[in-house]
Amino acid sequence: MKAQTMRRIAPYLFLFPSLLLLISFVYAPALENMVYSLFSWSSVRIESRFVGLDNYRELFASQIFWRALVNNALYAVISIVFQVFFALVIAAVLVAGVFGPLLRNFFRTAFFLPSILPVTVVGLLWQLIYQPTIGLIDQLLFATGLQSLSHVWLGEEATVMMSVIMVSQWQWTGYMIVLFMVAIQAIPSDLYEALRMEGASRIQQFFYITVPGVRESTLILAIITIFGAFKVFDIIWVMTAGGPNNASEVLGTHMYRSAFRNDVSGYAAAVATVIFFITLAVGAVQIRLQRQD
Amino acid sequence: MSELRLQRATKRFGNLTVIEKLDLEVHDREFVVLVGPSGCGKSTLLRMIAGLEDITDGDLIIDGQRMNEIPAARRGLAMVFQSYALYPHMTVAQNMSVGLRIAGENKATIQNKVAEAARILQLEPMLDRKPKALSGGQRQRVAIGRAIVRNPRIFLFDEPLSNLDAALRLQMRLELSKLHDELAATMIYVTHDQVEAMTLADRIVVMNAGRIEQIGTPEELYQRPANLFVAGFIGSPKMNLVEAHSDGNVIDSAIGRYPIRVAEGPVTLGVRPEVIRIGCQDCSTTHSGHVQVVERLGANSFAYLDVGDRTLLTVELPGMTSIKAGEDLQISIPADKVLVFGGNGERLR
Repeated sequence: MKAQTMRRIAPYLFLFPSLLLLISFVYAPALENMVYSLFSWSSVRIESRFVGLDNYRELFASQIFWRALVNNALYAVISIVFQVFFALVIAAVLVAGVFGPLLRNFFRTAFFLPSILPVTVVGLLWQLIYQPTIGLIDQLLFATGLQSLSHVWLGEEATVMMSVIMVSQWQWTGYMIVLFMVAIQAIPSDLYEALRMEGASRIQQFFYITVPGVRESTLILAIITIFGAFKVFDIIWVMTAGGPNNASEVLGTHMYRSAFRNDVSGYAAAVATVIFFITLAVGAVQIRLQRQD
Repeated sequence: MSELRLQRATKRFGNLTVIEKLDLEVHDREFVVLVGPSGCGKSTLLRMIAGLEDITDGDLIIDGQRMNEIPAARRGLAMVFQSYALYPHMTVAQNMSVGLRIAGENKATIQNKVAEAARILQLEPMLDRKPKALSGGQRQRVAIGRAIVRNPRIFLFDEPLSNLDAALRLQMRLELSKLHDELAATMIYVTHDQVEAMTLADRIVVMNAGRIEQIGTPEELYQRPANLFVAGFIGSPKMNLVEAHSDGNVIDSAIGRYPIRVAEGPVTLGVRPEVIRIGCQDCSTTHSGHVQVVERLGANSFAYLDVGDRTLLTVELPGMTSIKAGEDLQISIPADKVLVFGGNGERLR
């Protein structure tokens, strides 16, 4: 009887420590943050004042918030294109044996390397590459007679966001390629052979077998990419701190600036709540799509 | 007309030669089974025919046309894989029609061909199901259906029944045999199971270490194996192989002396379990053995006899025998049923 009871409660005992940590450091603070967003308060004063949804009204009326949201959305869309679509295609090409094993390993390593660099290093490296006139990009443009295309890449409102987004793609696409390669290699090779015998070209094999074969991985990686795009903070903060003139502001930097620079913590909590609900919605879509499988 | 000829076909992977100068002819509407132990090169040979492996040397000729450089899809062949190779995200109908869709066939033709194949294979109620909702046997039928809709010149089967349980394998064997008659098609079938080979084949090709050991009808291979390898491989249970010595006129062995004239020297005697008789009636020689194990299968039984000289003999007995382990038995073997293999393994008689 005692052994039976132990067997029943044993799984809960194993789960309890991690559940306790999750509640303490994730769910409770998230809930507390929502409560904070209903108050006007400062991190340097004890008093706080209940303002209801005022922080949200102010947030939705803020041009910076909408600009940040659009930037996050742009970040997500471009990340999906590079880190999901391009990564899948490149992974399929590498796995398909178009290159010999030596060249394939070289490409895989070369694509993967940026992902192991710290974001600060990447940010500083690309600041140098983007330097006007003396940076690598401008040097290349000048060398090829395309100086008319030269920009102050991180200093102009028109180019700054795309410039930072492309750095992120440079850093993470290789990582996604490796993950997709693993997923593609798990597809049985006789499916490809069977389709080859049916007369399918490599492109048809890609669409008939590879794409459906990695559907689940694609879905999860796409969701992770979107999560990352709406939570992004570090690369923006290192490279532009949201500038110039809030042109590269994202929700993460807007929240950080509100909390720790402008000391409007209730407002920052409202931004955090919005980020939470956006990622929650994306997560719900993921669960729904996976259930459909 | 669908005939296939391999001339001195060779396959090398780097320095490793898997198939060496192999010659084979498969005639129109023939059911040829390639059989041999794992790693003997039979699947590689099938893949060379299919176009999934390059032929390093030699020629593959189908209906008079050299096919070495022709891509797999244009050889007019269809292959059924061991794992079925069904596309998991497609329905049965989509799996069967994928080749036709790739070829750009019109919808009506596709529907007709899929319906016809589904009728032949009794897959009509399952056309909208996905592979995961099918049993092993049904999946195998879909894989065969996919081959049928292409109306190929030659069907290739790569161990198609090895993932099925014993009962289903028997049923599918019968269905394949019926299918061969119904389609009147040329079929090349790879298996390591000699029972499948014996029951399905018009002719069997026994392979070993990348070479052909013997080609013949099931009866020829069973009654007149060319060498020790074929003798040991074909037949279940295996042929009894007993070390012996010939003095030129008489062969002396643990199972008796036989007045068989072959060259002097070491030889191996081959005796099928069913030719050994209990007691002595009209026999050339008798010998005694100690029963070690008895297996009763219902319609027949097998007794394993220790006849001395570290020789264990399998004897087939009718029905559920009353003979028990531990008994001593007199056995006799008609001399005309004894096969003799020389020191090099080739059959002498």
